[in-house]
Amino acid sequence: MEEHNNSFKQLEAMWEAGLPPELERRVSSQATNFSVFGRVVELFMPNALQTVAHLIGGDNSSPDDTFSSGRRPAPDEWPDWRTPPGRGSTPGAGR
Amino acid sequence: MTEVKSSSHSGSGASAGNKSGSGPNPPDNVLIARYLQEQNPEYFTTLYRRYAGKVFAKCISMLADEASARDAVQDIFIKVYLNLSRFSEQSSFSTWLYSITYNFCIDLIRKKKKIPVLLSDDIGRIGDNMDVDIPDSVLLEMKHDRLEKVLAKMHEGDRIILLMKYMDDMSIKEIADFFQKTESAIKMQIMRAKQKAQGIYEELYASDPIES
Repeated sequence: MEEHNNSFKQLEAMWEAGLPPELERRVSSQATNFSVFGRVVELFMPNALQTVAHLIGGDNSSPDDTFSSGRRPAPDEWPDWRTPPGRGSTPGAGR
Repeated sequence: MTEVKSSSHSGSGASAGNKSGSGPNPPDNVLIARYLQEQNPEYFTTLYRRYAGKVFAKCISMLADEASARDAVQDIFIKVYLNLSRFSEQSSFSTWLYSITYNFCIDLIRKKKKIPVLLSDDIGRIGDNMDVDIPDSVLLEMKHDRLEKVLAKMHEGDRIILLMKYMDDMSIKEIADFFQKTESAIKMQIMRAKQKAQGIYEELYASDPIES
């Protein structure tokens, strides 16, 4: 044990020895929680913000998003499975 | 898991022969760099083990209450954890950590006692003849259990300034910089704090006065 040559250092050593061991668990679990929360935010926040932007009126002009934009698609934009009988280019379509 | 033995030294937290950080006891800055790179909480745990005792001692000494000190240690280390990326190596990690500890405890005391400042501005103004400098040995050679009782009875500002000077070996300039006061004001404050400590000691232990 380190020898302390003045009363302040002795007092400090006495207080240091009284550090509750369970404090380490509390600190590390809180730190882990913050770390996990930070990673979740990092992963999902960009997409969540994009979704919120669309919900409050943002427009995404990507053709793949025709159905999610709320606009009724023109017949030539319909996917193959919605092609009416007789109009399909594939032989046997619509039977 | 990176197990690092606790260090009572307040410097870099590692031996001089291990500056590269390749040994089992890497310096603080290496641990911080590794933590920031790998995000492995074990590095932070190592820093905690290295300094928690010192921080706890400082919190008890300033707050004079063990339960508050426990909560303060937890809050301080979480604050450090969240701000680790902002740590610049202009000062050592221990200096940075202790300065966070002091500021945290001082803010807590201010809020609790509802006092705006810990050290009043009129400290350095009065240079009356009542100021007699008491030798450091009076405090340094006091029995530590008695010193604890004396410190507990002192005003927070006086107590903290004595702890900075005698427990943390801070220079007058460092204390003055911390409180943003002049060095002469700090010297005066220390002198008066010592007088008050002696007065409290004599009150508590009238049958066994301090020899000075």
